[in-house]
Amino acid sequence: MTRKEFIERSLSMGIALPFLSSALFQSCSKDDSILPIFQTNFSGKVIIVGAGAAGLAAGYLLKRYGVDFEIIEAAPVYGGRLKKSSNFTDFPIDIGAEWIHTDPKILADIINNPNANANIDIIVYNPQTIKSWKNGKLKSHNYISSFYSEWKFKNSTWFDFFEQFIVPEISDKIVLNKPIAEINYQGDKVLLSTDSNETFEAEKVLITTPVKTLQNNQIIFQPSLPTEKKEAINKIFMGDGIKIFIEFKEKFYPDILAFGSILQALNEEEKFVYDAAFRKDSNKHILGLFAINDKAKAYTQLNSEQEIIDKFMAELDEIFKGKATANYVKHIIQNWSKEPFIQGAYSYSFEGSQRSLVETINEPLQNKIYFAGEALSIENQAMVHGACESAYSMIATMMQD
Amino acid sequence: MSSAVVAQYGNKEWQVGYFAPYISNMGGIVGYACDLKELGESSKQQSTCKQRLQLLTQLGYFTQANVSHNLLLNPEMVYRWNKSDKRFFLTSSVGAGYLLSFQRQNGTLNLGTGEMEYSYDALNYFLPTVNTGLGVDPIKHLGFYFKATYGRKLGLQNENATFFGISTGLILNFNLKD
Repeated sequence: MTRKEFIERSLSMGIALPFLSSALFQSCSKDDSILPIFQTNFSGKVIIVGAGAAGLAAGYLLKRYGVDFEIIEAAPVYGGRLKKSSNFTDFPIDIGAEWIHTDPKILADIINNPNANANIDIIVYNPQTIKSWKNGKLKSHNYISSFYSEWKFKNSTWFDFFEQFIVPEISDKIVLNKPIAEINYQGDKVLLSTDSNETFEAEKVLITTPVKTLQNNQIIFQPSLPTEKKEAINKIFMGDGIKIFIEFKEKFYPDILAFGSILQALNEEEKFVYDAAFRKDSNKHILGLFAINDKAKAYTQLNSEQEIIDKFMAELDEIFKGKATANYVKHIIQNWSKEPFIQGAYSYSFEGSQRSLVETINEPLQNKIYFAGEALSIENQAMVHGACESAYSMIATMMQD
Repeated sequence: MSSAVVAQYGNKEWQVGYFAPYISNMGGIVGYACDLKELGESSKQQSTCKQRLQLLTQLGYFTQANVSHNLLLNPEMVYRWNKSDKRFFLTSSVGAGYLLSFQRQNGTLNLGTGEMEYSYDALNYFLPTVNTGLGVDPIKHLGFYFKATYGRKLGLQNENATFFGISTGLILNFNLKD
């Protein structure tokens, strides 16, 4: 069941996201940790392609088991869709993954270190003012507050979490600016080469790049991936993604603004305007736009950031009767569709059975090539902790093959 | 069963029930109802209808998972109608409640133990409601009720919101004698 289907089903039953969150957490509680325990005799080297949440988590687990590994990242920074802006306002903003979609205890579960002597401040994300914009009318739905809640970092970000608690363990193993163009797994060892013909070699490879990059053949496999696997990859839909943050002089917007029918908007989770400073330690008024799929495409297909902000400001002015322009201070745009090694938001839907497609992709190739990432977690798809869970699970499989 | 068993004017009864604001919140509610006034019997084709005004005072608790614990004090003026020879009754009522909500705002996660400590804010709401319900008068002290509630949560420190919910449970009348 995809995340979207699960939310739809939950809402249709009148069961709200808190229950969803609880249900998700049950699969990764302290008694049933997502960090696997296994025995391995593997003595070779592993290369992890991609230093996003899944890639970093995979390295963290391999380090714990003393396995030789290297993480090869195409971009000049690690994090993938974990990204923050530190200097836009007086609190760090998640300009990538932002919400914690399950009980925050999952963070302790991800690092699984009883000696960790650190606290993380968390916001209970339970917006109080909720409106929808439909047919030119602004309508209040504050009662949704009694259904919906999630969590967010208070003084930090998802990126900070990885930077502080995962990356220090593996920083010497991360290689940046090396976009892998070809993976040759014909021989005993797997050979990886970049555009500039730089090569890497390992016994096993874990590919954690976004599904869109695989669909667009940014990495050529020698021999080609089996048809069944290629078809399964192509049946995952990952659409466009954009986030915009604007500082205003005053707060004239609700905690959440949905577009269209409120229940449909909650089901689809495709476009929201929200108070990004909600319960943060801040006196600033920061509005956020989260948009994916076609709702994002309306912005991402524009030619420049100026056109994007003009379009968004015009929308806000229409909804809030000119208050956006009157109160505008500054903005920041994160166009995920234009990130060359990301190319969109996250896996959204599956053409066919999610479980069957994911199992097909997760099937190791000659016990040498493995795949992991947010799209390949069945229970926690499209979430950061799902990416970690997928990576941990696949490393456990890899080490026992 | 004689009609004398059906709740008579002057009855006092307890209600104990399951309370589900917004359907998905969960809690319990205890109420005490006493008759204020008999509005008279109307007879139509030999069937007599009883109409009464009751004061129902309720104390409830409910929780929104991961978010809040809530205490409710809710007096209601109830119009209760039933045929005097039947136990089935209908009610409509208006309430003027007070809701004290302890809402989680922030938490601190200990990364070593995975334990969360939350801070709560106490928020006050005025809760005017209209209610409609049905039920069965007690037989041998025990009856049943179901009630649907709709109203407004008027925040003193917070935003206003629509309030709705259902409650269902038992009516206990210790004064009845079969």
